[in-house]
Amino acid sequence: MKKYIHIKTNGFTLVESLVSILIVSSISFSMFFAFYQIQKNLVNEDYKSDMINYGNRVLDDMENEIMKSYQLVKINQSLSNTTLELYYSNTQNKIKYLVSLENGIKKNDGESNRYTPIDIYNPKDDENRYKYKITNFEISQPTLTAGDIWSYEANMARYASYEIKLEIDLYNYPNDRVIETLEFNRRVFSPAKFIYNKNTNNA
Amino acid sequence: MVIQKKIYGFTLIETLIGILMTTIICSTLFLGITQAKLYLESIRIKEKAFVELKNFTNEWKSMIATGVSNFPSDSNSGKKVALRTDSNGNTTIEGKLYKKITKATNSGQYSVYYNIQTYITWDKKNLFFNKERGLLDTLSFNTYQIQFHIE
Repeated sequence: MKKYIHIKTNGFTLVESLVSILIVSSISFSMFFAFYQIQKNLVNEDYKSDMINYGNRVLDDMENEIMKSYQLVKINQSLSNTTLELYYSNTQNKIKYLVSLENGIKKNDGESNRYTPIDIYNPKDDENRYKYKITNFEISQPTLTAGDIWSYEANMARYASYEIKLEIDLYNYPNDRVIETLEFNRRVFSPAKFIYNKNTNNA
Repeated sequence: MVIQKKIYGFTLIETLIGILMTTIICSTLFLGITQAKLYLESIRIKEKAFVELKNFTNEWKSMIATGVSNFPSDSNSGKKVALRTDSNGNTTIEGKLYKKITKATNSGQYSVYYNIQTYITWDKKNLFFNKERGLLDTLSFNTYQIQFHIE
């Protein structure tokens, strides 16, 4: 007579449990690390996109106004604040820009004393950490470089033109370290200024 | 006496297939993310190229407007501009600007105007699935500018 003995192993052994815990821990840790990195990159990319749009939007606005104005007066109010005043031949109103390294670029349309932001600029997050910051703003006449045309007409073109340069530092999330500096530049020719200069010279 | 031992679990082959499938899915996911990031970067380079070309065109438009009529020919390598720089400030992608300025065919004696064709080229090398090496990306403008006569 045969005797059957059934051994059922329905549970996990200690070694199996420990191995599975180790594997699950490793996978979880890798996943959390990957998600953290992705989130960090996403936040940084978000700030970068915001600032690329901001820089282009602000300079496009300035470019449009400068093209129409015959005179531009730059006033350095302090190390971090610069004002630009634009004069037009067809109106007494002057348009002003306030470029603040801390608070961004604001515009006054000449109808009131109020400066309004051209676009949203919030350089710090909820925990008072820098996300981005304007570090440099320059506006000047183009300088003569190698290969440029040297003539009376070409000089008149340069006298009626401006080069605008804007630099914005991007900070790494979540620690305050500069990871990239965005540079924006524009070359603007003002026909109104050219005509004004020409008439002034002729007179 | 016969002892029957039942063991529940995956076989080696099943486990290996499982690992292989997971690896393929993860690789595809990361490849997709990398490709999307590179594509975004290529769009930003194109935006930068657009602004540089606009500045270049504005410069020549201003020359024509003020009365310049002799234009130097471009060198073979064009005018170089940085489209992307690394964290140390070294140029990683460079654009080359070219121009072709001709007097417009129906330009009159009093209303002199010129046709300006400008373009910028740059290397597409940093796109992940771009197999054609040395392929150039190009943006071009075709515009007109009248010469100002102020007496």
